[in-house]
Formats: sequence, C-alpha cells, structure tokens
Amino acid sequence: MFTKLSHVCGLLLLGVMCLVMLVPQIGEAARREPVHTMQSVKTAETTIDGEKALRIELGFDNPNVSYSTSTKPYLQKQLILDLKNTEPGKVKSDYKVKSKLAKAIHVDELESRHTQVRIDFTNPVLDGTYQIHEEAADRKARKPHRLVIDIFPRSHAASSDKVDGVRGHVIVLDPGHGGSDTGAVGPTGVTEASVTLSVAQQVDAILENSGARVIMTRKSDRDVYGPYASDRQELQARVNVGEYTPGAELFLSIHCNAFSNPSAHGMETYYYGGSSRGERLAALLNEELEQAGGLLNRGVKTANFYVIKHSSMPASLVELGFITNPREEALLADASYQAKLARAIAKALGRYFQGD
Amino acid sequence: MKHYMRYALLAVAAVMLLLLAGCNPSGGKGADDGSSSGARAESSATAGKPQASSSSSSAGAKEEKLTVKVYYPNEDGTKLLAVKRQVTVGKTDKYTAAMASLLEGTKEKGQTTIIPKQAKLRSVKVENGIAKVDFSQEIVKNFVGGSTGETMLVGSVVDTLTEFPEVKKVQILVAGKPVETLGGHMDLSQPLARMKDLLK
Repeated sequence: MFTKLSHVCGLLLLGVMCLVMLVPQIGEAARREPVHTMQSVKTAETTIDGEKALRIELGFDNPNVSYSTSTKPYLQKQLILDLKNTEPGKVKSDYKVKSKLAKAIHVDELESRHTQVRIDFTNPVLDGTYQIHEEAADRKARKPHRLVIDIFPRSHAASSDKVDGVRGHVIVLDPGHGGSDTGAVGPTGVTEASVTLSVAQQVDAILENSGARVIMTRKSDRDVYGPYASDRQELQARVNVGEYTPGAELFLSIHCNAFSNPSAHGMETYYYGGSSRGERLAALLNEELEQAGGLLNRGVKTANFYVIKHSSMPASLVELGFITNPREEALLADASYQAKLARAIAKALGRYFQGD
Repeated sequence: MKHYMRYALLAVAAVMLLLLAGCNPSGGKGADDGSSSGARAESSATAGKPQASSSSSSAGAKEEKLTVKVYYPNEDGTKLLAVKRQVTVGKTDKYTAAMASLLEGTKEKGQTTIIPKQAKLRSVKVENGIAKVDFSQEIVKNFVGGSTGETMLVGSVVDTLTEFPEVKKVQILVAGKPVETLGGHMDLSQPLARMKDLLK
C-alpha cells in the first residue's frame, strides 16, 4: 500500500517534471529549423521597374532562412542582415562589389551559428532603397535557396506615394548644404547635408510620381557651385537653378536647425517678408510638418535668408528640426521619420497648388 | 660689417623703446593723451543714453566705467535677452568695449553663448551711422550653424551695437572683408538694421 502510493507519487512527480521541461520546448520544436549553411554570394546588375538595380544573392543549403535587418544610419551606409541559425560555410569573409550602388559585402560568424552579412551601400540605406525576398532552389539553373537583396538608386517606397495637386507643376527642391559644407553636425555626428538630401530625394520621388516636374539643386553630396566657392556663389548657384528653369513655380530649401544650446528644439518654416504667396507656402508647410513630425512648432517666420530673398518665385525655407538636440538628431537620421516628413512636405506643396 | 649694422639698429630700437616706456607712467603728453581725449569726446557726445559714471582711476588715465547692454539668446534660441555689463572705456572706445564684453560670453542660467569662444574681435568702427564690426575667421570656422544659430549670433551683434542710438546699422566683416553669410542662410552683404523682432 505504502509502496504503491509512493510509486504513484513518484510517477506524478516525474510527469510534472517532464511537462515543465517540455513546455518551453514545444514552441521551439515546432519552429526548429535545420542549421543553414551559406553556399554562395553573388552579385549582378539588373533592371527592376525600368530602373537599374544591383541584385545580391546569398545562397543557402536549406529554405526558410530567418533573418533580421538593421542599419546604423549615421555611422555607415551599411545594411546589416543577422542570420540566426546560420553558418557562413565556405563563403569568403569579404567581397568587393563593382557597382554604383554598393561597394562591398562582409560575412562574419559573430557567434556559433549566428552569421552577419553587412553590405556597404553607396547611398544612405533608407526604406525603399532595397528589397529582400527569398527564392527557392532552382535545380535546372543550378541555383540554391537564396535570399535576394535588390538595391535601387533611389527610394522605391517613396515613389509609390502620391499626393494630389502637383500634377504638371514645376518645383525646385534645394537640399541645404552638401559637398565641402556639411552644414550643422549633431552630437553623434549626423550631418545636416545628409539629412536634407535624403528628405529632398524622397520628396522628389513622391512629387515625380504624382506628375510634377522636380528640379533638384543637388542630387548627391556635393556643392552646387563648386567646392570652396564663396558663400554668395554657392547660394546664388542654388537660386539660379530655379531662376534658369523655364516654368519653375516654387523654390523650397530644406534645412536642419542648429543652436549652441542642445536644449533648443522644434520645427519652423520661413518665407521672405512681404511675399504673400511665400507666406502661404510656409504656412502650409508648417501645418503639415507639425502634424506629421510632431515636434514643437516654433512657427512661421520671416527672415533675411539668401535663397528665399533672391528667388523671384514664391519660396520657403524649412527647418525640419534641431540636429544639435540629441532627441531630434536621432529622429532626423531615422529613415521612417524622414519618409514621414517627405510625405508632409509633398502634401503641403499639393495643397499650395490647389489653392487650399 | 653687416653684423655691426644689425646691432646698431637693435641698440637704437632698444633705446627708443625705453624712452617710450618711460613716457607712459609719467602721464605723458605724447600719443597716449590724444587717444584718451578722443574717447572722452565720444562718451560726452552720447552722455544721454548709456549712463556714464566717472571713475576714480588711480593711474590718472582718462578711463571711465560705462554701463552697456549686451544681448544673449535664451536657452532655446527664440529671443535675445538684454544683459547689463560694466565696461571700461578710455583706451578702447565704447563700441569695442561693448563688443568685447559680448564676446566674453555668458554663464548665466537661461542665457546661451552663441558667438564661438575661439572668435576674436578685430575691430569696431562707426562711420555715418554704420558700425563695421570685424571678427577673426573663427566666427565662421567654429560656428554651430543653423538658421536659429545664425539669426541669434547676428542678432546679438547687431542689437548690442544698435543699442547706441547713433548706430543705425551694422555690417559684419570677417578677417577684414565683408561677408555674404556666416552659416549659409542670412544675407549679410548689406548692413543690417536693429533686429527688433528678436527682443519680444
């Protein structure tokens, strides 16, 4: 009797113990994947949606590769893929890429079965500048299971966006600073020139996609007049892009603000005093940027700024936020935040032309 | 031969220096007197506005203490705050003294120094109501940037100098030359009137 009871107890205890030990493994067992081993790293120029793109194919021995992506937007133009449960196998640790879109691919096993692939982009790594999908093995083509990374010269995500009211209009976008002039620099090193270019490029994509004609004063990290020109030459060169473009209707200069006290924060928009159309433009931009960006609204202001003063068309200069404020610096460097601001700017321009 | 010439010149220079040095403490009637009387003339011309208080400078030089207003931006760069400073005029005129005081910066809570501390004041000259203030290159090189940074920097200079009623406009020079802008936003090619909207 006693022995039987202890038996039952023992069995029960064993059962409970088994259950306890099994529970966390039930989920894992369902998801258990074979260890992947990388087989190949290949690159090729390709054309996607009529646009040149770079295709990188990472080959694996098994399907269902699990990966996560990350970027360090203000440190490097690098896309990082973390591959869990993956070994690098026999692929090399560094590949040089001959392309205008990427420079190199690095493969490292950070810890056992955790492989990291880092791709050095030429342009900032933004939402929509790359796409990743998986492709099954193709025995006829002798291709293994692949993770395919397509890199585009400009954001594809933004260009799928559309706004009303800009069709047929000619708009000049001026990404502030660039080239020999980084503009203001944030506490962790984010430069004003890189943020303004990135946002302007996305505004450009949305507007073009909505049927507007956009002229950018610069499309890359460069001076508009030339390196180390006088300030007047550089600023006048930007104004001239608008002045010498037939039919140009509006000049928008995109900037990030800075101050010697890091606590200064917020967004503001400017127009040249006396220009009523400039005032309306600045007011609409202010309204949309406040709504989308959510920063302190420092208001619609007038100022004696060169590019808005010397442009003969309605003009505005927007200060997206303070790059010298740590919180706003991080936001300004964030790809999805930039996309939000770009959409807001495009929307404001649409409202401007619609006579809203 | 050449060596002798050089020594002779050095000796002459040394003697002249000694003579000049001897002149000064004796409250001399040389070049020193001229400049201090000039300063006196300036301060008497404007005795109305900035309160001049005669000082008992023991050296006998014509130095006076003067209270001036200099302007510093607030912490978030939304406006300029007036700060009263006592400066000594005599050897330097009141414009230079006020600007030098502004360039010292501020440590007061709620105020921010915007002019880079590396920047040096080269000169301030007032002619026909226009003050030309000349800074060293560092005012551009070490400038923080931004529309707000630039507006506040220029505003603090312009409003500090136009505090003197005879100064109507201010032109900023860098290393002796007129500049078009400091940070790539403001058009500084023309002299600027008092920036009143920063004082609200």
